[in-house]
Amino acid sequence: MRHTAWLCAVVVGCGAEPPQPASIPIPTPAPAESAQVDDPGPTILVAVPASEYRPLFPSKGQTAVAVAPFALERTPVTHAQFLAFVAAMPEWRRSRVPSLFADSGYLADWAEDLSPPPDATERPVTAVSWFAARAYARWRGRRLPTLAEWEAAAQLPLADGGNAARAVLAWYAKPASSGPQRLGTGTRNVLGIADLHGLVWEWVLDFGGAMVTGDARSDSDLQRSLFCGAGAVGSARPDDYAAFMRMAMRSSLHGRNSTKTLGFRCATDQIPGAR
Amino acid sequence: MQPTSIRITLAAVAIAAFACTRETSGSCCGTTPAAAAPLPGSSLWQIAAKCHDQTGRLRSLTEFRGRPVLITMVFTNCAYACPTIAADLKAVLAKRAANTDLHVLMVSMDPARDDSVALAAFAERHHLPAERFTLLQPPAEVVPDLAAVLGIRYAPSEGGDFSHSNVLTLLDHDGSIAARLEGLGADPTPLLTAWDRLHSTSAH
Repeated sequence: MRHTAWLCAVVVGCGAEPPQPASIPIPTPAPAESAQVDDPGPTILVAVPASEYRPLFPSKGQTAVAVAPFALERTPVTHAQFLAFVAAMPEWRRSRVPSLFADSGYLADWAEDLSPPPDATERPVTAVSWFAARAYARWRGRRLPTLAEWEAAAQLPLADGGNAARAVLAWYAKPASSGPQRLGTGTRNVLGIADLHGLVWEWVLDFGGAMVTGDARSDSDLQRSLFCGAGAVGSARPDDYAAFMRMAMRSSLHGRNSTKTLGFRCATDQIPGAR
Repeated sequence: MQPTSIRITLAAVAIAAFACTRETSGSCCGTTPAAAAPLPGSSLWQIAAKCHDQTGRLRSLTEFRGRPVLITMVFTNCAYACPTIAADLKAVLAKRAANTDLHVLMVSMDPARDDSVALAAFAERHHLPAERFTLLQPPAEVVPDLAAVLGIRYAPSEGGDFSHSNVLTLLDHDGSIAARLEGLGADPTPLLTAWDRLHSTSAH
């Protein structure tokens, strides 16, 4: 059924559309361009009560960052959900996305603009840039979680009493050759939020705020001059290897980057159940 | 391969997606000779936000198309790095005093505090003449986008300040990145070389 819909979309988008004269700018996508696909809808939100995030590198005198109540999607965004987005917003299709907003790895595992890999409803979309993730969230009327929000949710105890850091290390030790597993194969925390650990890395709104400062590598002089505010730091959580890996990963990213282990989920200030 | 119309659509849609104050296609002013052509996919001016400058005027980022631009992000309450960035900028310009085509944009990462008055005070304090330097207060929701395309890392820190990386970026006439200079007091040679190349292009 869905394949038929895609096929129609391709036919309508490329074949049936009359060529436009080059001199006429089109302010919004022509109706013929937005393809009809099944939208699984937005992911269910889980309310996260007021919490705190203990930064790896707190500034002087700081111990924790207060995180206001917010709501986080229960699972990462899937290929099928992202397909609904690119179907509605053609400028985010693989063949059309401006290079400013996505590198050449964008949706690299999709066969065509509107053809995600198999099991699209059950697997997290990866190889999406931060700009694309942000645009998806905006399209859903949501936003990306902040780093503090994401980490606060990730620091909550697991439902089975397990150790999150250990779960991440076990996941990290597995080869990534076959791409991400299905939703629900990662951890589940006490609030029921799934896959924060053990499925994919995830974009956060302020990933650019993640910086490794005051390190002792040979480029530390560069680091110091590159980052105003260096010094007066030392890690408060030297045992949380997983958090270090996330920090290192985020600090190496640019907004247009896309990698096959990096997905995202959305957040919102609209707490479900609250008025 | 792609019809021009689609490229125009793309630019227009990108504008709609990223600007807080939307633009109609094209540009307002006679100062953008190349405005009719679609922007390349790598152009920063696809983020077509409108920002107040240090004189209080509302400026569209696309106005700066058509000439090379040196762009960076600062906040005017910055005690250490940002005055140094201003000094670095002036040092770079001084090495090519005869080339007047290049314009400098300093975009605030602290738009809550950096209004036109604060920007004007910073410009005066550091002797940044308005004909060469435009200081901008972008809409708050565009700050992460601008920082991301420029590869500038920033995070709010205690006392309302920001930790941030210092990056000068040279944009070509269409707003695509031609060169980047990371760090304070870095050797500007690669930037100057790229500027020379742009300058010779525009001279033709």
